Amino acid sequence: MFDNQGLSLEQAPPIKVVFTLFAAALLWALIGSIAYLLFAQSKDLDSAFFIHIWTLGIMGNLIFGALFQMLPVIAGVAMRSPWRDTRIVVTGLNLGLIALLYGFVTHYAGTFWLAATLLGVTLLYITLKIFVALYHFKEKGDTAQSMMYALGFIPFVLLSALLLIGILSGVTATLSTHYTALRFLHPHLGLWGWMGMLIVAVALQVVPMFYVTPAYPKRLHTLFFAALLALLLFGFMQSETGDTTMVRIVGGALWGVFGLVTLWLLRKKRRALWDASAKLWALGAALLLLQATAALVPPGFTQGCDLSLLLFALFVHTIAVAMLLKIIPFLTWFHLNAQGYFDAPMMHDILSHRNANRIFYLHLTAILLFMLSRFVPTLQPLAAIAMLCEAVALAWLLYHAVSAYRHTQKHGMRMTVNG
Amino acid sequence: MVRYERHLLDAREMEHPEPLQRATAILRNLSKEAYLYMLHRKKPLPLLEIAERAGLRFCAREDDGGTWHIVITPAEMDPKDLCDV
Repeated sequence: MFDNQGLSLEQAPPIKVVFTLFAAALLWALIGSIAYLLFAQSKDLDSAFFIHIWTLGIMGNLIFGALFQMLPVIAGVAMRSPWRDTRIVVTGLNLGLIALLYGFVTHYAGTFWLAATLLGVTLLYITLKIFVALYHFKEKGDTAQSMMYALGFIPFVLLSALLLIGILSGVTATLSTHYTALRFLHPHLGLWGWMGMLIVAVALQVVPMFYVTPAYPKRLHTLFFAALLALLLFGFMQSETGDTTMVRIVGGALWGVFGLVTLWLLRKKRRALWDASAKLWALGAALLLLQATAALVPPGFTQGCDLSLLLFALFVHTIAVAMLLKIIPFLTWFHLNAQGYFDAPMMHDILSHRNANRIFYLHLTAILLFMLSRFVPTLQPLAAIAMLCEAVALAWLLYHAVSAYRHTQKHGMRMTVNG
Repeated sequence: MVRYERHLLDAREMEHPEPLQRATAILRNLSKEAYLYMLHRKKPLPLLEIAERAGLRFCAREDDGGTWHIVITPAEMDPKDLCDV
């Protein structure tokens, strides 16, 4: 197996690549939580409006930012012209999302097609580029392989979205009998397939490396991918007849197993100290156990809300926050250090343990309130405020990191070691 | 024979990226009569690149137990002579 040793100075993308995409994600987090605060209770906006702010605006930008950063670190692959690709992703993804959101508000079919074109071209381009880079990498380890599995789901997420738009706008009316199946497949391909499998890829490398734990069991990722694929295919066929209960239960259990393994590994971490990011990984794993339990609850008891899938989304979000708390301070310090600024601020200067813990508790409060607000609608404004506070805290972290970076570049002492 | 000062950094149980942060902090203040001796569970590629860029010399060897021994010295020393493995 390719055993990566860390971020190479030569292969690391410029810091602006990662931070631009993170800034776009955090901007959507602010917009999303404000929109949720203002409109969630009035029912003026469809839930698809908020869901896509999260999937494309927040997670889409975050994932590609993290991928550009992590490809050299955990998969041993460096992207060519990363800044050009960043501009393509930022433009295509965010304009596509704006068009999509406009479509959800106006229900005008033309904007959906514009969104589909922008998002489809952008995501297929970047997916193909990363996939080819990984494919040509000779020493593919478990992480690189899992990333390829995850990327493989994106074209199908897009295809299912296109078919749904086609059915809703009447263009592919002949396929309308498959509407229920596509409604099942689209979110599950995106969440279980694309985002979930990507987290598996990241976890294989990051959990043992960051927290000094034993490694995940061998071949876990391949078994996981095969099981997911079979389950989604079976789910597609089942949803034609309308009953996906068994798929949801088995899928929930599958992810529950991953959560259990992750918790077990974290319990074995060599250091007794739990920093905020380790707590967030443990929280994410616990959410997977909860979603496995929620999958057993009949939909009639959850007021039409797919509680299990919602908890899965919170798991994805929690891991994203865990990674942000690590990546932002680390990259700031690392890039300055690599440029020879040995008075560069250390990671804890960018984000102290106390502030990281504050963000952890803010996140915990936000997701608890959000879950409760699904059943007690009067709590929605409070949940929105908590989400807004978390978004502000993360945006502050990024702003603070960029300021420290610029300040050191302007006033820092550049010297050689022993010089 | 000249005796050099050894700065030992056992990073085997440190969480990422503490080993890199601590090692660069030691290198920053390294005198011409001193060197860094690091024990790590992995070969720390970025640290070795930083050392190389700063004109330092290094030697990285893995022992039978899977522990990496990394020696980083000023240009005047030979790190291979100082490595226990």
